[in-house]
Amino acid sequence: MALLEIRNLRTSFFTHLGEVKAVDGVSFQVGEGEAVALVGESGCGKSVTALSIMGLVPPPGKVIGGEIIFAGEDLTKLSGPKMRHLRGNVLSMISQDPMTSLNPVLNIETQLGEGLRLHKGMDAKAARERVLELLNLVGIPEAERRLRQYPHEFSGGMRQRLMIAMALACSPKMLIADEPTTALDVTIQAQIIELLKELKSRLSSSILLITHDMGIVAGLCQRVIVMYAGRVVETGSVEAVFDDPQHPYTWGLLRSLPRLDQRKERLVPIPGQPPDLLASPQGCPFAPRCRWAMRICVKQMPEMITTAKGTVACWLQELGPQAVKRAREEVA
Amino acid sequence: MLLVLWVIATVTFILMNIIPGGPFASEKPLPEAVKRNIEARYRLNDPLWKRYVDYMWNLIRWDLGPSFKYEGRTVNDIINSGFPVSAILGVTAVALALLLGIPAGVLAALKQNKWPDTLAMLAATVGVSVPSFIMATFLMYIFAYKLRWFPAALWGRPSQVVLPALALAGFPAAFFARLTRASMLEVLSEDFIRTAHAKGLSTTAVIVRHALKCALIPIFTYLGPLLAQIMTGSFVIEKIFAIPGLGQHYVTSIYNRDYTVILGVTVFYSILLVTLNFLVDLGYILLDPRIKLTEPSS
Repeated sequence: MALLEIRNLRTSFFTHLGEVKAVDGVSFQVGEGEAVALVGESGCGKSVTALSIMGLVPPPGKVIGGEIIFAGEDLTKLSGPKMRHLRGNVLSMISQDPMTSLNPVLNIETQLGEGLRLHKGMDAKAARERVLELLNLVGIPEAERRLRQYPHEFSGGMRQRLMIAMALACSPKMLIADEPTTALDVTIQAQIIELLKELKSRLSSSILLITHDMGIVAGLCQRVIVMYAGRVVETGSVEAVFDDPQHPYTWGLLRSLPRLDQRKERLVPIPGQPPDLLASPQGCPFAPRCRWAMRICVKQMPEMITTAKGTVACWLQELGPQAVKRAREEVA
Repeated sequence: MLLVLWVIATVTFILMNIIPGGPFASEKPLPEAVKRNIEARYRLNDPLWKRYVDYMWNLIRWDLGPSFKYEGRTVNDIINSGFPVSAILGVTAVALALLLGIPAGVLAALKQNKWPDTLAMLAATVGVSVPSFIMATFLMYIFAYKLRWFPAALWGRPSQVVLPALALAGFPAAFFARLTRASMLEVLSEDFIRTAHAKGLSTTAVIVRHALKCALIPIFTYLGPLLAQIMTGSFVIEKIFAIPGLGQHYVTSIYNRDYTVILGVTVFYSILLVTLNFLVDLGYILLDPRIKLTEPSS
C-alpha cells in the first residue's frame, strides 16, 4: 500500500470575490521510499496541495473534500493535537524561501532541536548531539560553532541546508519539498539538488518534490505528476513523461525548458494565461490555450485515462496513440 | 553621553537666565539691603560666567546647591525625597501598561477582525484619547468614592499607588496594545511562523516562543523614553492625587524661578533619560541577535 494516497482532494479559498478552487479534485499516490515530483506553473495548486497534506492551509483556505491517507490514517479527519504529532515528526516540509523561513531571533540549536525535544522527548544534550549530526549530514562545516549562531549569519544556500536538516530531524517517513531551490542562485541550486540526491540515497524517506523546474525532476524523482489549474493532467514515470508525454500541457511545459542536447534559437512559451480559478471552466481547463482543442474539450472535462505508461486526462487520447504522436510532432 | 548632558545643562542654564524675573522678584519690592543680602548669600550678584563655572563645578561633584524657595533644603534633598515616589509610581504604571497592553494586543492580533479585536482596539482608542487627568477623575469617582476599594489620594501605603498608576498607565497601555497588535500581525504572516507550525509545535508554543519575541522588539524601543516620560510627565497625576513626587516640585520650581531646582532636576532627568536609552540599546543586543556591538568600521 502506498504511504500517501490522495483521493479527490479539493481545497478552496473563500475570498470576498468568491470561492477560488485552488485544488480541484486531485488524486495521486506516493509509495514508501519513492520520490515523486509535482510539477506545473505558478498558481496551479502545487503548494496548496502540499499545505493541504500538512494541514497548514492558511485562512481563508480550507480543505473541503477528499481524503489524504497517510500511513493508513485520513489526515483530513485527524484532530489538531494528533495532526501536530505527525507534523515535523513523520511528515515534514521544506519551504520555498530559506531567507524568511527561519526565525531570525532564535539560534540554530534552538530551532533545529525544538522538534526533537517535542517529538522524540530528547533532553537538551541529546538534542544537541542530534543537531550536530544533522548539520554534518547536510554539509554545514564547523557545526559546533554554528550551533550558537543565528540565521542571518548563514548564506542562502546554507539556510536551505538548515531547513533540510530541520525537516529531517525526526527522520520523517515523508518529506515534502516545496520548491526547495526556487529562491536560490543557480549554482547554489545545483548544490542543494546534489544534497537532496545524496540524502535520498542514504535515507529511507519518501519525497514529494514540488517544482516548476523540470530540470531538477529528472535527477531526483522516479515519477512525475503534472498539475494544471488545480487538477492533475498527467502522471507517469520520469522517462515516460519526458520521452513520451501525452498531454499538450506537458508538451508545452517541456518545450519551455532550455535543453542542452537540442540547439534551439529560443524557448517556446505556452500562449495565453492559466484560467481564472474563481470561475472554473466546464471543460478541460487547458482548452483555451490548447492548439488541438476540440469542441468536446470546452464542453466536458476529460476523465483520467490509464495509458501504457501512466495516466492522462485529455480528449486527444480518444483519437488513438497515432494521432497524439502526430500532434506532438507538429510542435517539435 | 556626557556631552549630551553638558549641552542640556548649559542650555537650561542659559534659558533660565533669559526668562525675565528672578527667584526673589515679587509684587512688593524687597528693601534694597535685604535684596542685596539675599543675592550675596545665593551668589546671584556674581557675573553670569562665574555662576556658570561654579555651577558646573558643583554639578560634577553632584552638589546641586540649595533651593531658593525652600529654606534649608538642598536640591539633592528634594530629588532624594521626591524621586523614589515618582519612580515607584512610574514603574508601577509602566508595568501595568505592559501587563494590560501586550496581552490585549496579542489577543487582538490572534482574533483579528473578530469581537475581541474590536473590543481591545476600542478600549485602546479610548485609552489613547482620554487624557490622564480625566482618567484620574473617573477612577477616583468610581473606585474611591463609589466603590471605596482604594483611597482617593495621598501616598505611603501600597493601596494608594493603584489609582494614580492606573491613571498613568492608560495611555501607554493603549499604545502598547496597538503596537503589539500591529507587530504581531506582521510577524504572524512571516514564513518562519509556518515553519514553526510545520514542526508540529502547538499554537501556544508558536506564539510564545516564535512570534512574541520578534513582536516585542518595537515595544522595547518605546520602553526607555516612555519610562522617563512617565516619571517626568506625572506632574498632573501627582497633583491630583496629592503625591509628593518629583514632578510636582519640578513644575513648581519653574513658577518660582527656583534656579537651582530647575537646573538640578533637569540635569537629573537628562541623566535618567540618557541612561534608560542606553540600557534599551544594550537590551536590543539580548533581544535581537541581528544587532551586535561592533567597532566602527574604518
